[in-house]
Amino acid sequence: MISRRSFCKKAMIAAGGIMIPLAALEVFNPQRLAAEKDGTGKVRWVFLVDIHKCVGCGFCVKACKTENEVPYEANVTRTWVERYVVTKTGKTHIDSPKGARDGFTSQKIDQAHHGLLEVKEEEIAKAFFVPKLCNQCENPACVQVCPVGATYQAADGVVLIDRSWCIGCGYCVMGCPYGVRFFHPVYHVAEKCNFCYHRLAKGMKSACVDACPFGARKIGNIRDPEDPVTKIITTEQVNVLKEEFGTKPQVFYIGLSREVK
Amino acid sequence: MKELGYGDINDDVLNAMRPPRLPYLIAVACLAAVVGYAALVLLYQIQNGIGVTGLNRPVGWATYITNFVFWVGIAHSGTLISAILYLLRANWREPVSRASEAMTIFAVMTAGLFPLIHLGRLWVFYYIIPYPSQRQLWPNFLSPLVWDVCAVGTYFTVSLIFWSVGMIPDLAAARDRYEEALGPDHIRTRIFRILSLGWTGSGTQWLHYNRSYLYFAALATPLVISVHSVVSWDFAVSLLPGWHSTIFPPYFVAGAIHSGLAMVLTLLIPMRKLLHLERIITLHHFEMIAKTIVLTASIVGYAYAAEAFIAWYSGDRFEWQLYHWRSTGSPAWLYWMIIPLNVLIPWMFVFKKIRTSYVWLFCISLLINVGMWLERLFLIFTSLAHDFLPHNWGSYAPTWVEVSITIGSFSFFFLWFFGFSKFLPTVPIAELKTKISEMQMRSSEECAMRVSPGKSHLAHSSVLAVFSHAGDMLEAVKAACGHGFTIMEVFSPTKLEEVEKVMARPKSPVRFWTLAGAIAGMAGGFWLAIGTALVNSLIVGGKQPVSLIPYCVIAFEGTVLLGSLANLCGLVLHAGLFKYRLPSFYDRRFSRDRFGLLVNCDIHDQERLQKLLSTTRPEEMHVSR
Repeated sequence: MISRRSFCKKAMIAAGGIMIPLAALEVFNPQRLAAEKDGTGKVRWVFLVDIHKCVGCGFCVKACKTENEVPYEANVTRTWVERYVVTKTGKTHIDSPKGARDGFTSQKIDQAHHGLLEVKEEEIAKAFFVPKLCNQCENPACVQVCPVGATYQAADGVVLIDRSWCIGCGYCVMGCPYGVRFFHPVYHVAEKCNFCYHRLAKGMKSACVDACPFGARKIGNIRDPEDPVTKIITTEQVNVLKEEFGTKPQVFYIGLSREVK
Repeated sequence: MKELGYGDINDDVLNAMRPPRLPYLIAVACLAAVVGYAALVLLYQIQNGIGVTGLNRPVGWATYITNFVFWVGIAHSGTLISAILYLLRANWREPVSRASEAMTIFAVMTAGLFPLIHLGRLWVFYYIIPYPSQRQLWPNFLSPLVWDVCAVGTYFTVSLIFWSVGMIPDLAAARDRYEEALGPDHIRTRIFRILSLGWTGSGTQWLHYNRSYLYFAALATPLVISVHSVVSWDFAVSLLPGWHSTIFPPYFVAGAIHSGLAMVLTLLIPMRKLLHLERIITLHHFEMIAKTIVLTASIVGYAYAAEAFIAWYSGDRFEWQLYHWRSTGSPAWLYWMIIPLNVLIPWMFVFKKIRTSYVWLFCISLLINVGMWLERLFLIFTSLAHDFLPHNWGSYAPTWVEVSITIGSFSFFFLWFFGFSKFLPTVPIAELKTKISEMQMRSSEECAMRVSPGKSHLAHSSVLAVFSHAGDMLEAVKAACGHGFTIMEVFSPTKLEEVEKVMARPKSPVRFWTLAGAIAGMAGGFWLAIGTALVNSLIVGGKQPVSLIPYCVIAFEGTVLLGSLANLCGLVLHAGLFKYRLPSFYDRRFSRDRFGLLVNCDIHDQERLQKLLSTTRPEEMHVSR
């Protein structure tokens, strides 16, 4: 007769004995969890933003809203432009009124509920604009949390949302560390930038890329070595946002300052 | 409680089930009206979209998810009391266990509504259920929200079964009481005859029942830890500051038990008074709950401290700015309220004066409830309002829609609890009687021969002896088997482990059912998740299509769910719990305060048997030829 005590003991030893060899397997190695996708597809869309060239006119935001059925007056946008004002004392002020749909018409910093803040010109050390959009991550955090599989990654890397399948739980909106997702006020589903997938499919460029008068926004195919965007990414100093989260974002920035989050 | 007899316990508890009076009906009507109003508000929200609430950019989760987390948390302490403390043989749990379990079930029901209420498109909620759809698109088993569905679904099912099974002997007691008072054809008698599934309290039924109950407790125990861990992963799995934290599961589980114990006090202090259960539920029980609250308050307080320490010591600028904003910014009033409400005030229970005063107990329990609700709201919305992007910072205030639906949820919960307190036995009668029977027992040795209950009691001639003292019956069993009578069955209003031991009954085969169910559930969980992944073939969150670690959650829930269902099947089949009519020799008093011993014998042995049994002081003896 096996006693309870000896049963517990033996069970623990057995469990431990099984765990040790299992631990050596890759299933228990989180490093190996990164999916090994076959990098053989012909197309992988990436985006390139040149911060030096952005003047904060907001044409990209306007074009995006018009192109993609995002209600014009609602305070949600698929892409937006942030203004960074760094003072000589090292303080950083960041704003994006209406996602910069109408550009930055005032020198004052829009602090939402806390009114406008005036920063004197002689205090400013540097100021610049950072356009943001969906990073179409290689390891998208939003796709992992979707309970129904309504958001997914296409073969060319773009993360899409199936409006007819989304139940509107909002988990992906909370899950995205870049804050690019929002709740569509009309369709009651999650919504975000998809590089204007419908335009890409027709061989056109994203609406924001076409609308940018200064060429600060570019889209390209990283698998095509002749693509000018690929050439810049592979030869210049480019950076991505929140690399430490392991999401492998695919929107690359030239001239990314350390204040940018 | 010590001086109560079997009959007193029976009467005290079942007296509460008298037909309701006017104040009760008015209270129920008011609660129902509030629930109806909340349903109309929900309709309005569905028509106009989630924009009618305060949920917007950047705060997309707030009151509704708070309610979900809060109610799931309330549920936990019911299972703690009914399952974990059962396994730990903590005697003080008994009188409060039934009501706590009822609280668990109604709280899970309330909680389950909220993930639905907060959906943008409520009408397609069923996309989350794994069923073969025409789109060939299956749920994503890597999503913590799907784990939630599995965990809460399992939790509800298992709690409901555990609660119902625990109630069967008490339902039989109610049935017999109604039959005596109202006649066999009264509607109440009939309802309880169906509900009690043909329970006679025979030794065979108790044998299977005890084994089965033990396994239900064992299966429900990990749920106390796992369900709220899964709920906390909803937050911890995302990357937001304040949410992406490894302390979340223990933090949430402790908070869940903390709020649940407070809710037990809130519910039971008035219930005890209104249902006149003062002799059964005593101050001692509340004192024990208050002591447990001191422990959970300390764990919660430690978690608050750890959260602050990590935000500071990690040097992570996002964590630190969030913590700074939480404690000094616009939600700071919440932060500085939840610390006293959840930690400092409950710590007052260390003083005996406070934890032995009903007024203090009740008031502090209310404060903890408020505090824990606010804590959940605070944890959920502040992370969303103050994450990485300063231009995206915002705040949150609920609108009348969320307020109405939240009030509706409380009414929904109390409505169910009101119904329970009037129509079902609110205290486990059979378990309380065990205490008396254990005191009456004298330890004795096993019979030399194995005793069996026999297939049909009516074929042979038999003698039925009725006892009012459990110890006397034990003696009679011993005497009968000592003299070569091996076909006998006992009837009892409570479990008699000593008698089982003396009769040397083999262990119940229910355990094999449970094992088979649990193994099937584990395999089924992996099968479902892996199969789905292979059909969907999506690479998700940088994990391989088939990634085993997250699927362990599904397999675990499957283990508990199918284990419990199989356990129930085994119990129903082996104990014969599918009958409407009771055997002819069954006596109504067997569910109240009498013990029966039915011994089969040959005709010519009958006199010898009668003589033998009469030495053990039976109250009555019935002979059938």
